[in-house]
Formats: sequence, C-alpha cells, structure tokens
Amino acid sequence: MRTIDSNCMIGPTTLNARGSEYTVADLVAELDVAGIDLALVYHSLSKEHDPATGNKMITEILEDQDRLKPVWVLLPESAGDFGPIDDTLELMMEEKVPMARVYPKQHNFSFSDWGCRALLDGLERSGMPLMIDLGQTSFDQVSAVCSSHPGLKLVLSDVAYRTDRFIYPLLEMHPNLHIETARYQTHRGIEAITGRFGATRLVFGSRVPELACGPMAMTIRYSRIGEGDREKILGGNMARLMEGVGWRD
Amino acid sequence: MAGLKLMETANRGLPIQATVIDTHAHMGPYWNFHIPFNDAEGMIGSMDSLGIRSTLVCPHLSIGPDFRAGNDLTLQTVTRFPDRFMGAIGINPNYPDLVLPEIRRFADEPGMRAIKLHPSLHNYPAGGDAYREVYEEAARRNLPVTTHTWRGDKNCAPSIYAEVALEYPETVFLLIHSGGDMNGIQEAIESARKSDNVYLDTSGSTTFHMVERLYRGLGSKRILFGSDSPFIDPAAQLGKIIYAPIPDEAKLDIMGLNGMKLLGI
Repeated sequence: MRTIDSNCMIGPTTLNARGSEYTVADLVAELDVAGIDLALVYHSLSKEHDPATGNKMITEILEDQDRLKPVWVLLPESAGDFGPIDDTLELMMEEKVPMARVYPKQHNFSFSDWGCRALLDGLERSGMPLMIDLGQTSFDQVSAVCSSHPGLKLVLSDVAYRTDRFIYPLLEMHPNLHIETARYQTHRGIEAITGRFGATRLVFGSRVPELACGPMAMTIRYSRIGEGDREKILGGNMARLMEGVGWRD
Repeated sequence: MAGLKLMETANRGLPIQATVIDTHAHMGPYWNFHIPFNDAEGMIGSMDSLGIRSTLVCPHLSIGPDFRAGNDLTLQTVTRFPDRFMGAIGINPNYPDLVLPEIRRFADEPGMRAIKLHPSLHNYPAGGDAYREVYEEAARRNLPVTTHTWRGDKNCAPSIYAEVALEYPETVFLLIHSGGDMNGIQEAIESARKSDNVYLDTSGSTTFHMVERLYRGLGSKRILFGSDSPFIDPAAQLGKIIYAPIPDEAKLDIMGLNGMKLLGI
C-alpha cells in the first residue's frame, strides 16, 4: 500500500508566509525526504484568486508528474462562475482529477443545501470525494450536509486537537464523514479514534506548505495501532475514497 | 555523524536512537478539551514509541485552579517513575502568599528540576511582584524557570523577558513556545540574543518550520525540545526537529543534550 498525502498546495500566496513560492520541486523533495509516495495537490490560485484559473494551472503543471495528482477547487453554479456541475465533473474525470475541494468562507457562499445543493448532489452522484477545511465551514454545517447527502464522501480537514467533543458524535452519526489528520494532533488521538470508530475514517494529509510532510506523517507512523490500520490511514482509505472516480493504485 | 539516520528512522516509525529529553510537558485532564491517555502511563506509551528518555512535567492542574494539588501529583509521578519523569513546580501568582512556600515545599525533592509559570492563564505580568520572588528563589536554588510566552500577550510576550532576564542574570529562563508564531519566534530570538540566560522551546501546534529559524538565529545550544504533551501529541513535535534542514549535530543538541545540561541530568 502506498502512502498518499491528501492535502498539499503549490503556488504563490498573497501573504508569502513561507518567504518564497512552494513549487513542484519543493513538494517532491519534501515527499522524498518523508517517504511519501503520492500527493493530491491544488494550486494556490484556486483558493486565493480564481478557481477556474487555478484548476487549469494545476492540471497543466502536473501533467507529467506521476506522483502528483491535481485537485480542483469548485464553486456553486448559482452565480454563474461555474457551469453545470455534471459538466465540471465530466471534465474532472477526463483530466483524472480524483478529488474536489471547496472554500465557502473564502469564496463567500454557504456550505449548505440552499447554498450549493446542485454541487453537493453532483459530487454525491459521481462518487467524487470532497475535502473542506473546518475553518471554511462549521461543525453544524458539516453535520447537516452529511445528513442530506449520505452518499457524499466528505473529508474534513483543518481539524485541530481540541475537537474530540465535536468530531466523535459526528463520526458516530455520519458514516460518510472522514477526518484528514494534519492538524489533528490530539495526544494519541489517532489511536483513540481508531479504537472507537475503526481505522477507515482517518485520511493522512500534511497540509504543506503551511505544515510539513515528515512531522505530520510521524503522527500516524508513531501511533500505537496495528500495521494494517496504519496502512489504511496513510493511504488505503484515500485510495478507497477515490476508487469511484477511476483511481487505481 | 554519518549513520545517524534520524529521518529514515522516523519514516519507519521506530524509536529515535539518540538522547531525547522533553523539557515541556503537562499531565492529566484539561477543562477545555478531551485528552486521551493523559496519565503517566499513557504518556510513557508515547515516550516509548518515540524513544523519549525523560520528560519534564507540570500537570494541567498545576497551571490551573489548584497548583498545590497539581504539584502533589508531580511529586507522586517523579517518585513512581524516576527514570521517565522530572517535575516542574507550578506556582500561581494570584495566591502570592503561597508562592514561596510552595517552591520550598518541593525544591529539595529529587526529580523536581524546574519552576513553571503561565502568565497567560494566570493573567499576571511577567514583571509582577510575585514572579520577582520566584526569579530570586529560582536563582538561589539553581532551578530554571520555564514560562509560557506568546507574541502580543501583555503578560508574557517574548520581548518582556528580554528585560526581565537582564534584571535577573543568575536566573535561567526557558521561553515556552518561543513566542508562539513565526513573528513571535523572531521576537524570542531577539530576546535570547540580548541575554545568555534565555533559552527557547520548540513546542507549538502550528510552527512546523520554526526549528530552522531558531537555529539560524541563535545556533543550537540554547534551543530545547518541548512537546507540550499530552496537550498535543509529541510525535509531530519531535518531527519538527528531525526533519528540520539543520545539521545532525544541532538536532542532537536540541533533542536532548541541551535539556540534560539545563536540568542537570
């Protein structure tokens, strides 16, 4: 089973917190050092400028990168930014894009049925996984969307270490909810969730370049869980989530 | 240093084959969120997985409402596990009459190696009178003072300790979190450059590129590995040193050798 980093970004950012642009070469070097095989990558311009522009860029930039798979950031079709979701999803399949992201807070729409029903319906129908940062939504919205779209493969990222009293009931209620692990630094939290909910609900991600591949992978690699469970979290679960959109590992 | 293979070991999830001393940790439950495996045995589990030899603890209770009960727990812990835990005496300056008696109650106990301050939680300024008594007593007893710091905090911004450390040159100050974010880290480096008795801690849940910045600013001899465990998991915290683009010799200093010197191990 290969290790898959589900949460990577490249490209220039407005605040340049890193001091320089994080490039494909930077990412590949960091993956190599950390022993990570594959990465799902979106472009900073998809988040900080215009999703359509950034999505086109990441697809072109990663065209010859076997280890890096493009992730597109989507908008609801309500204001006319994007065309019908089924057309977008068809294009994603053609371009071998195995996951979508949304930034409702950044892009000013509601992560709810009234705010993006068609988008959520389309993702649910197609089997396309969706990743969203907690900072872009709320636990209440996540719960409502999981309820109204029980077939949606939702991966909640940006989940920090103080959140167990929120995410435990959500994991209990919503079998379609998954947690990306980069910011989930709860003491022995991976072990605790695996013990209670099984190993299928966690998906490894590093959140580079904001965070770092090696240290974030250590959270999983040093968890006191079985090797089979570790392999699921490090890559097997993400591979399974992407099977519906033609992923073959 | 060839053959150290720290990153290769970490990629395989095996215990780190070097001296690792954790100079910033807590213990027990905390009011704000759920912490699995938060007792001594639970922490030893994490330490064993990573290869952490010994950890300096100050239980959450000691920085919260009952520092005396928390310090009792610390003493019990270092007595039960003398090879795995050392204790930091927690004091609460909002009970000024109890501060010095509490330090004196524990200072001679083997295994109690430091004094822990949390000016942010206690909402008490680093230059306040109760803390001044602590700084003097710490110097007399040769106990380092480990203190929470955060950029912009009126009570414990790193720049405040630049002044305090110059006032108390015989007292050793370990600035926990080194200011908390990347701007705070720069402030902490500047404070440490002004006083040789200021040391910097690597813990923080968002600062995963801090170690190279600290190393470039201060060298390796006054930077110490702290995990903040079990407030957060120690694995990624140790990882930020292991994967930092700095020499292996510096990593060994930061992971454990500096901690041994500071705590007299």
